[in-house]
Amino acid sequence: MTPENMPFTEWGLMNLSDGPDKILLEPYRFTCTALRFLFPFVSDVLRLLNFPRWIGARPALKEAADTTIAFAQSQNNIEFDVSYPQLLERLSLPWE
Amino acid sequence: MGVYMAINIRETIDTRGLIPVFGYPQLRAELPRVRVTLHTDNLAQAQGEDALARDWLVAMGKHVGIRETRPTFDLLVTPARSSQGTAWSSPHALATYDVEHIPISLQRFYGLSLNPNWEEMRDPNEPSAPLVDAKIHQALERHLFVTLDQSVLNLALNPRPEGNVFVLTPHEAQHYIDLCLKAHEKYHIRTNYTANRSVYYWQRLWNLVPAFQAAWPYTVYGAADSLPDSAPIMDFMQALYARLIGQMQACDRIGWLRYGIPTSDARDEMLNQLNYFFMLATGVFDSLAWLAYHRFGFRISSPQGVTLRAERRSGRENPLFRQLDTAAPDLASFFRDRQQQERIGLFYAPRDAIQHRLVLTGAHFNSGQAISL
Repeated sequence: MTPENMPFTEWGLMNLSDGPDKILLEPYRFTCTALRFLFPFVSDVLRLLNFPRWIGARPALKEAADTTIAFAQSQNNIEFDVSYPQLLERLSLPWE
Repeated sequence: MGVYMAINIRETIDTRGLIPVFGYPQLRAELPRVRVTLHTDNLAQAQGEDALARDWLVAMGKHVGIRETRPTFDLLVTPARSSQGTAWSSPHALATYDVEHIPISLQRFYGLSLNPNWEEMRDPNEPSAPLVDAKIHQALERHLFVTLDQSVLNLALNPRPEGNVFVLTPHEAQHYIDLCLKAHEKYHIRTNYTANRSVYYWQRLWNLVPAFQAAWPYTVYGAADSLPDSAPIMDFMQALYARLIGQMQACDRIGWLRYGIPTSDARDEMLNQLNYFFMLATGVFDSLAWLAYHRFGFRISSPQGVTLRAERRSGRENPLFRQLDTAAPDLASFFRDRQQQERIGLFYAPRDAIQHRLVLTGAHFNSGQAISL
């Protein structure tokens, strides 16, 4: 859904009137939105791949991995000051 | 399928077979001196994410890093005229405009505007205090004026004979400074905590893809214990994170170029990064498809069948999805979802054009840059 005052879609895409296959793409808007889609997508797929079940065939191995995961998660809970990827600023175009 | 490993060999490898880490010129990238002016009276009222960003700008503007002799950027604040502005700025003890350096043509209005009642007193033809501040900022050749005042933000959009003013909100300014620092090899996780590029993006990935934190050790342990298909699973996990990190780096580079003067050089580099971004994006889908293939021990006759794209030649079903229907129905449903397929398709159309037909080409807009396919 493209608001009237926002010619580009959330993905930074805009169809041109002079040809159905001509598309304008705003690179930064596209790449930021793409990453905002890709991160949860990848996370969901990795979760659904269910690696604990794969390694669960060897319980001792899974236990060792779980210990490592718990330790890694306790060490890697660093919060960044600046969020990522950023939402973009207002877009002003001549025809607005 | 081959696994290629790149190695950079200079002249010598030490007795342990390692590349020496000494004997390189110690060159350091020079961080440009960004001159930032905060609009005190206006920003004293900032709330939410803009207040957080304002405080981050102040902290960064005062922070002197290890082996540095001055703060990360040059920070000034406009003089406080309101009690709110005074209450906010006084504890920070930040420098304001030096009267001696203000051009004579602006000194009279500057003096008058310091009166807290200037807005009520002034003639409609005389400039408002925020406008006086912005004009002085510009006359002092400072780079970035930060405010939430819409009348000043609008200055950035109008071509002016004396040159444009670069004005951003605190949240946008934080983003700009962060991109600037990264473009010059300063990777701040927190104000006083930096990392090298590799650690910075790894940590970003670790935070942004929480399931990766768990999946990664399983694949490492699985590979160490030679679980079935563990070697290719490990390879595709490595490919997955390398591609995601490459995408983050490309996105940051494109973001930084976006704020630069739109020259043909900037356009060329942005297009290179964008072309690369598309290839990495579809590579991420390929990595996930192959992870699913090896995780569940599938056998598919053609490698072209190992894809997350549902669309096949008419009458053909995606063989990966068909096998997933039995082995992991939740994952099969997730991939088949129409909205997911629309988004996956959004990457493949330009990727196919780049790889097989045309590269992306560039176009300029007055208000930024746009790329046409």
